[in-house]
Formats: sequence, structure tokens, C-alpha cells
Amino acid sequence: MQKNRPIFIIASLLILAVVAFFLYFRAFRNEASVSEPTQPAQSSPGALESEEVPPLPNIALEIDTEQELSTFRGIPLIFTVRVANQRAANADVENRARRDSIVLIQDKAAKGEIGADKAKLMLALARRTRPVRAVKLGSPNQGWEQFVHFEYRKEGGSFQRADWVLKPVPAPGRRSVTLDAQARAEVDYALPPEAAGRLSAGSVEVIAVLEVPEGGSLPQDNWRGRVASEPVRMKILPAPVNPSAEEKGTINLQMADFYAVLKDWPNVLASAEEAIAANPKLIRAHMRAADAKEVQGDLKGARDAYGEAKRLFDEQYPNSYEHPLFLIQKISSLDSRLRNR
Amino acid sequence: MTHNVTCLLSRIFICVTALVCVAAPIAQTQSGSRAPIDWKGTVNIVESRHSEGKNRNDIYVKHSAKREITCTFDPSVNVDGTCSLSDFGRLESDRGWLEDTTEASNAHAHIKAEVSAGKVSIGISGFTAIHKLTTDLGGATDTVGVGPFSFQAPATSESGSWSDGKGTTITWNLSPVYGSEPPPAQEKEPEDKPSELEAAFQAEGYDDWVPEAGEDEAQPGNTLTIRARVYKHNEPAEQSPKKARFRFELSGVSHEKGVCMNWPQLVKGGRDLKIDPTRNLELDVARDGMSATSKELSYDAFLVVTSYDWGGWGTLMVTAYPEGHETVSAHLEGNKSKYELAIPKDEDGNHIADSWEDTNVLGTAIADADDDFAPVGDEHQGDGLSTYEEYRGFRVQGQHIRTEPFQKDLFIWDPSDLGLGYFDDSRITTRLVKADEFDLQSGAPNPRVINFNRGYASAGAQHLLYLKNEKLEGDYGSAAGTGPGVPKTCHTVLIDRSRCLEKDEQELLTTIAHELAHGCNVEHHGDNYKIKEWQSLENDRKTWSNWRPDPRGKAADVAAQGGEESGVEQCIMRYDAATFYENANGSFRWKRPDGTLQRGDEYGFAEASGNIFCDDKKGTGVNAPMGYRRVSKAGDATKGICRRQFCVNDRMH
Repeated sequence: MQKNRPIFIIASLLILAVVAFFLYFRAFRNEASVSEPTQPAQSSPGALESEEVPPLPNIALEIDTEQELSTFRGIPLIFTVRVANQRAANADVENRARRDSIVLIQDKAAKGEIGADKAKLMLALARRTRPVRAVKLGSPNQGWEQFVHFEYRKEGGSFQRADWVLKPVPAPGRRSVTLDAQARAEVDYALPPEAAGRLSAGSVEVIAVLEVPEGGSLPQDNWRGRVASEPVRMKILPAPVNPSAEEKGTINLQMADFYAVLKDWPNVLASAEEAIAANPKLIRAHMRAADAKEVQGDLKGARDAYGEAKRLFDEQYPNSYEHPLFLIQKISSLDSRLRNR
Repeated sequence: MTHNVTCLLSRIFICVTALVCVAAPIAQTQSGSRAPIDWKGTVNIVESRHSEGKNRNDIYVKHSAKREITCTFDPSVNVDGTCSLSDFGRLESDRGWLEDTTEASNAHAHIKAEVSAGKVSIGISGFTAIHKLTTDLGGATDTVGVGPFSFQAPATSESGSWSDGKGTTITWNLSPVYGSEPPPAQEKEPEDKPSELEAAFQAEGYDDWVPEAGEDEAQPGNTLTIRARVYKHNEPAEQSPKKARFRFELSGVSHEKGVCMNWPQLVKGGRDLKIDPTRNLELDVARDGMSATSKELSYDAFLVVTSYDWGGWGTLMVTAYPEGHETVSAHLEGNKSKYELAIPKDEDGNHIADSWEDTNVLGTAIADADDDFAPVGDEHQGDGLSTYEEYRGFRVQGQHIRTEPFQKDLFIWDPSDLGLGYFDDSRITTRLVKADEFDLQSGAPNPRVINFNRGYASAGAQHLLYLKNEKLEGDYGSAAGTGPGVPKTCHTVLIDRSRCLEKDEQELLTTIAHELAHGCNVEHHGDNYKIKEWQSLENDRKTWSNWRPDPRGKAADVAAQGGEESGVEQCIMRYDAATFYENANGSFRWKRPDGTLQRGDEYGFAEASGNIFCDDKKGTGVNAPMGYRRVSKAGDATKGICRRQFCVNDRMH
């Protein structure tokens, strides 16, 4: 026994060391896990579970960037569909605002502007988080845009599915998207002149619909359901027989915008120049001409066209609170490139 | 901006708020001394208006219009009426290109009659009609009509008329409706003693109950169950020797418009707490849902009160009619001095549920206070929404939320899904809403009101910001309105998404935040100036050239010291481009607005777009001392400290 005493002591010390190490490691792990950012999606003690909202995508539609527009029959149109997740954006911003108010509440409590009990209550409120639920759409095999269709209604009628020939330009790069608080995805569709010529004159409301049916081959975690955009109100006027100079300017600018989306720069320039010829004060026509010239390598022509656009801006909006930063930056950039040639 | 030179819309918002006070002798009618619980009949408004003014293209226009609106009161929906427009007159104009395309579906009024002791009050609000004027020269926004106004009507009958002498005539014809009958009074039996019986009631989960609503005013929300019973006087544990019928009466029930502050639109209105017959099968429920009597004699009875509003309130009283005994007023269980039950529990009588106060305010809330303090911003407290409005809550993206009374809220409509960019750095709680979650009301230049169902304890109309994608004419974005101001002054926040993205994604995020900040009263860092001509050093920097007009526009923009490009380089509100900047050793020179000569250089490439709202005026980055080619490009900001400029409260500024 006496002989084994040192062994017992060493063994005891070893056991103690192992236990101590185990306890320390556990404590350390616990501490680390506390400091880890919590996943907002799952229930945490401070989550606003009672106010939790299911994920829901938003779909937006613009026609030629407008939500209300008038156009002539036969003028090509660009339909832009954008998807986002405004519920997630709301939750994310709300969480950020709450977090940022903590210091303010603590300051007010320290200054005695609010009582300790009230500060405690406010801090508890500020530490709550609203779950940010992402929305998944599409898969590598089935792009999200395949679940988009358009509906229209004439005055007093009900919405019906549109059979217009709309082509994505270009096809969206991402076939599947995860819409969180910031992410969004969009696709442009072109309605070419011949298809636009088949639209009947009159007022019409158009909506974009995202409709993902139950089941199917999409992954299980994809969102399913139907959401519709706000309606775009479009008035289609008969093509003018003898268009005025102003109408010619408008029509050609619309054409230039259309070709710009298609990146058909020669046609952008031709249409923009026709618009300028009809109405030289159209600032955006000069900008479109400049865009085309720059892409096609005519840097001086582009610089001059942007310069003319800026001159018109200064003339037409002498008291504008915002300056034409886009034009100023373009001109500076082109000046520099011209100097370095 | 006339780039879209086709049919644009012009809207005329006619908002008339009228208050008719008819001192009608309601106490003495064909039903003896009973007070009417409801009214039926019609209210008719005829308005003829003439208006003239300029549209946004400075074209002078005149309008004349005659409108008529009739409101029918249906007793089954209590005291609120539905209205429809008829005979809308055609607008006339001195311009041939105006075309009236009035949409009757967009025209509405909300007329509410209230019965109180000795008089009837008829309130007419939200008399709104939208006209679409077709013009190839741009839309006009014009306001026709005046309001609010009030008047005292003849004090003799429930029919009458009133005119403001300016074209508005209101006529009304209302008659009273009476509610359910209480049980017949019992003959008092000689052997009974008045003190033999006692009645009491209590509500399940009363302390924590907060009203909730359904999808709209017709859909039920949550419920509160009340049990009433009779027992031997002073012996609550002893069964009563007699059974009784119980009568439950709701009084002082609120009828706020809609179910919450912004949902739904175009509503009839109705009482916010009701006794629903389908949930009270053992009771005879009055048509108006305000009273009910048990069908059978029993020792106890249950009442289910249904909520139809997220901020409703009322008071319940219970009376027992024991068999062969005089009536007994029920008191609250355990409190013999309390014969009324406030629904929800509301000890301070501010119509805000105590349980919400306990978890959000701690103590008594002042219903019409607006003292949100986070973030500090320009130190104006509040977000334009009263404590009661924050409690009653809002519909946001299809879901109801109650907002917090200390966090400033800003509502935004973003139908283009542009997103908020870097605006979250403002630390304001922004809430993106849908098109049917705000209303077009009076209050030009921004007609978009978020708390359009306001009534009790309102701080006034609060507007949202409309974020819109737009093809602009040279700028990345613009807050269209009267310059930086609170949301009511900002008509539309315009963003040219595709032009921003031509630069980079960061420019889009910055521009959105920059323009939204203008809608919250945040200004640029300072002011620049423009020059029409300049000279440059030539011959190896020995001589100045002749004066030259700027070839890049009508005027060149100079980034002045303390101007728009000054201050913290990464601030969202700072401009990052100009034609020239001031530099005492520069190779250009020009005359400042005060006539003095100023040397400088070309501004060159723009800096990266900002991503924060600054806390300081001090120039950083290119604006730091020696920060750019051994000088400060634009120096310290004149204004700056952008984070302390935010104000979302429409009542300020």
C-alpha cells in the first residue's frame, strides 16, 4: 500500500486534471455558444413568435419602367418583373432599429431620463428579434421566371391570362433565387413591334403573377402559392397617322429605350437621333445617343451628347435640388478617357 | 419632366369633413323613455365647386364640377352608413385637352352618426373623389373643396339641411331604431327580501385580454367570455335559492373606422365589440349585438363578446332577473363596488388595454401622446402616430402589427421592389406596405396617408413615402416635392435604377437611401455654386488662357469648400462628383459668385458612393486635410451630422 501511494496520488491528480479540463472546456464551449450569432429563423427566447409572419414573395411589374403609361399601338414595350421579399426586409430593418436603440435606452437610463423599471422593459423590447424568413424560388432545372405569367383586364372586365409573345431579354442569369431581406431578382421581357401592333387600343390593366403550384419537381423548400403585382395601367392609343414633332420624339425615344434593353446599339442611336431631330430638347434622347456612341467607341461624340444633355438639364431645371450626377460623372470619365487616348 | 409626353393622370382630391350636430329631442319618441340604439335614413351631400390654378407644367386650368353623394343608413350595421356617388358632373376647363374620366369606384365618403344624450351627431369625413384628367402636357394636381368645417343645425328634428354658402349642401333624414326588450319586471313577492340574492360576473383571462380583429369589419376577431351567476347574498359559495335570467348590455362601444389604422379602405364602419348570436346560442341577442338576455332561467349564464377591431373598447353591465324577485345588478366577482366591466381591462380609462401598457409602456399611457425617441434624429419626438394608434396597429404586408411607442416608424410604398438600399443605417423602423394599405387623402403635396382610419386620440394625418423607379434626365434620384422635408412634403422618391446600376450596385443602394433621407428632412452637406466660364494655366503654367464657357453644359458645378462634396467621405448624403474643386494651387481659375477669383482643378473621377449617415462635420478621406493631392477636396461639411437631421413626424417642420 505504502508502495502504491505515489501512484494513487499521481492517478488522483490526473483524474482531477481531466475533470478540471472537462469542466473548463464545457464552460468555454458554453460561453462560445452564447456569443455565437443566433439564427434569426428559429425560435429564440426573445423572438416575436406571436407576431411571426410566414414568408411571402413580392412581385413587381413595370412596363417601360412605368406603372401608368400611355403608348401607341405598335410601339415595342419592355415588361420588367422583379421579385423581392418585403416581409423579410421589414423584419430585418426592424431588428436593426431595435438593436441600435439599446445604447440610446441605456444612455437615457443613465441620465435618469427614464426610470430603471421602464428602461428594463424597453431593453427587453429592444432585444426581441423578428424572424427573417427567406423565400426560395426556382431550381437549376426550372428557373423562377417560368412560374411568371401576365394577366390583363379591360375597363370593367376581369383579369384574364395574356397570350402575348413576350421573350426574356436576356434570359435571367440565376435560375433559382433565395430572397432574403436584401436579395431581389428581375427579368425583362420584350414585346416586339409586331406583337405590340396586335394590341387593341383602349385602357388596360396588366399584372404579373408568380404562381408556383403545389407538388411538382421543385425542391421541397421552395415557396408555393400565388402572388400578383400591383396593376400597371396602360392606355394604348391608335398609332397617329401624321404624328406631331412631339409625338415623333416620344415614339422614337421609346424605340431607343427598347433597343437599349436589347443592347441593339445601332438602332438605339438611329432612334435617338430621330427623336432629337423631332424634339431637340429631349434630354433623355441625347443621353440615349450618348450611350450608343460610347458603346460603339465614339467617345468624343458621347462626351458631346452627354454635355448637351447636361446643358439642357441646367436650362430646364435651373433650380433642381439634385444635380445631374450621372451626367457629371459620365462627362468626367469620358474627358479622362479622351485625354489618355 | 415631360419625357412621357402622353396621357398622364391628374388627380383631384375632394375632401370634405362636416359635422352636423342635431340637437334632436331623442328622449321623447314613440317608444317612451327608451333611447334609440340606432338610426336609419339617408344623408345627401351636393357639392358644386369651381377651382382654378396651375398644373405642374405651369398651364393655367379651371375646373367646375357638381357632385352628389347619398349615404344610406342600415340599422343592422349600427350607426355607420354606406355611400355611393351619383351624377358626377363633367369637369369643364378652359383647355380643350382636358378629359374627365372620373371613376365612381374611387369616390367615397364615410358618414357616421353618433347618438349621445339629447342629440345626434353626424360626421362626414373622407369625402374623396378621384378624377383622371387626360393631358398631353403633364398631369395636374389640384384640390377642390374645403374642409374641415362644422355647423349647428336646426334643433328641432331629425330631418334638416345645411349649406356652407360656398356650394356644399347637406340634407338628412334619420329616424330612430330601438333595441331588444329587457325581460319584464317581476312583481316583488312579499316574502322576498331585497338582500336575499346577489349577482356577480367575471371574465376569463381578463387581465391579459387585448382585442383583435378579423380580416375586415365583418369578420370576427378574438373573444372574451364572461360568466354571470346568482347566489345567496354575502355567501358566494352558496347556491341561489332562485334561478334567474341574465341580461348583458354593452355600452360606450367604440366604432373606429376599419379594424386598424390602415385596414381596410372604404369601410362602412361598425361597432368594435359585439355580442354575436352564433356564439351565444343560449341568449336572445338584440339585432344590434349590444345586448342579450338568457333564454332560460338558470343559476348562471355565459356571454361571449366578440372583437371586431384591434383597438376597440366598451363597457359591460349585467343584470339578473331572478324568478319572483326584484332585479339584481351584478358586480364584478370579489368587488362589490364595481358594476361595470371595461373591455379590455383599462383601469386608467384611456382605451388602451392595460396588458399592452404593461408590456410596452409601463404605467399609464397618454393615448394621444407621440413621444417615440429612437432614433434621436433632429430631437423632434414622435413619428406622427399617437400611442393609441401604435397600439391599435397597422396592416403591413398583409399582417397586423402593433408598433412600439418608443421606436419611430416610417412607412414606405415600394411597388417597384427597389428595396431600401442603405437606408437602414438611419436606424428608423421602416415598414414597406402594399398599395391597399394606405389611402389617398387630402394633404397635398403628398396625398398618401397611412393612418387613414384614424379617429380616437389621433395625432393627425401621417404620410408615407412613395419609392418609384423612373427614367430620369441626368440625375440618379430625386425626392420630388418641396425639397428636403418630412414625408407629407415629399410627393415621390424617384430612383433611376438602371442608370444607378450603370455605375454600380453601390450607387443604387446609396441613391435610394439618399433620396429617402431627403423625405425625412435630411439635407445635403452644404451648397455648391455654378460658374459659366473659366481660365486655365497654359504655356507651362505661366499664363492664363482667355475666359472660356464651360463646354460641358450651361454651367460648371464647383465643389465648394463646405459644399455638397464636403464632410465625411462615406456619408450617403455627400455628393461625390462635380466639374471642379477649389485648390489654391490649381491650374484653373474662375470667379466665385461674390466676384473674387478662385483657383481650382478638375474634380476628376467620382469617389465610391457612401454607405453610412455621418455623425460629424469633419472632412474625412478626400476631404481630410491633405486628403487629396495634398489638399482637402471640399473640407468640413457646413451642415453634415446627417444622423441628427432625420425627422419622420409630419407635424414637425
